[in-house]
Amino acid sequence: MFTHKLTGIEIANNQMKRQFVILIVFLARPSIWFLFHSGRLDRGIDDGIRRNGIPSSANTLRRWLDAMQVKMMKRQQILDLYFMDARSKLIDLAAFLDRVDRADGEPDFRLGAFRKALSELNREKPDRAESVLLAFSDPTSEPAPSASTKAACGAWPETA
Amino acid sequence: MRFVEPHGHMVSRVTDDYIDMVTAGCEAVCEPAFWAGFDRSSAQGFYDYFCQLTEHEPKRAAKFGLPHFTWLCINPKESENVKLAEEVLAIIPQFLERPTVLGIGEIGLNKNTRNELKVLEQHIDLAARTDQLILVHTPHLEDKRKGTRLIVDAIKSESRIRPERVIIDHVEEHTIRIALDAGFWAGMTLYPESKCTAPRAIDLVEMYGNERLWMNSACDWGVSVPLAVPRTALEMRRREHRPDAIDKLIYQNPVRFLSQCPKFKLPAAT
Ligand SMILES: [Zn+2]
Repeated sequence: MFTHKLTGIEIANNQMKRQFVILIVFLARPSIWFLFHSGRLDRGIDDGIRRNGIPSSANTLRRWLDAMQVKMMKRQQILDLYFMDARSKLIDLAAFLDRVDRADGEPDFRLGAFRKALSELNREKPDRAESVLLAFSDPTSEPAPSASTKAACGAWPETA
Repeated sequence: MRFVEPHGHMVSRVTDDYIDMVTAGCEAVCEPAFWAGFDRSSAQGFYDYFCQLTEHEPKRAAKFGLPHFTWLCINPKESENVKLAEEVLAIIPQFLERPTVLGIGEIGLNKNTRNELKVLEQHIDLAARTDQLILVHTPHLEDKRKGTRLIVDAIKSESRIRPERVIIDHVEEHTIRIALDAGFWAGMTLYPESKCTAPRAIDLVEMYGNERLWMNSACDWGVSVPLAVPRTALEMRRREHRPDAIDKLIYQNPVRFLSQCPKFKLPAAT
């Protein structure tokens, strides 16, 4: 039996000692991840993005942003800064849909795309802006044979 | 505050815009060749435009103490006419040695057609042969995602082009990863009605870092704001971004990318 110096935990035999080391390594994973990636920060942070993608946990992302001097506000501060603006835009959206409903006319693919995009706002994941943009996007991958117009209209015409 | 406007179509702007930009701390402006809002009828029209970009506009900017640089190409909006595009491509090389030309741009796609892609590939080949930096315009609205993928694939398939010498401009939430993951720089364009608003651009910085990213106003003849970059810097201050992080994004980053062309020199740095 011996006592681990840092934690004061008593360890009875070698097998327990091995299990203890595994436990410590498991608990220290985020720090190990950061130590590994912080080396890359010096050589170019986004090399890390390119090879490894964006750090997945909010904690590691925050430390990674700190190292790049990118500050993130608390939720309360973001609401203080943007709530009134977002509220106003939401009411404008509601009024726009009411206005469209009051008007006579044929169905229009832009409205279908708009409603599809609106449904993305209820997603749980914080990638709603990307999802809304994708809802309006041409999902095909082959170059078009030719162009009949130079302009984009904001929604893909084949959206149901 | 100091900043570089790395993408502004100054031929469409008035002198008050130059005064406002310099007053706000602009230390250089870079002007990619673009669509005039109407189709030019001949290659001669482009010759005159390239003279305007390389001779007249730098002189106009100099009156306000602002260094002016430029990029040359035929814009994708006029690339559907391949014959005209090839005639314009033939006159570009004689301008490339001029002292304020930084590279080939803004090239890319508009409606993602085969002809546009063909002309894009010819521009990429010209950049590779003459060792030029590349500035890429990505399509608008519903065409952006598909077009960005097609453009990135076209550039990646050209082994003579090093990705760190290419900036993919006008990225948004659904395209920024396509550019950064491929090793390119990414540009965020700050427009009131399309592309990125200031809060969204700052969101992207907070999500993807500020290493290979710049911001521009892309001010032109349409709805656009020549002071969009310094105004977004003010928004970053409200979001508690540190002054050195703001300076990196709006000054150091464009200088770092553009300095890959030895002709890009700012008076303070010489
Ligand atoms: Zn432009």
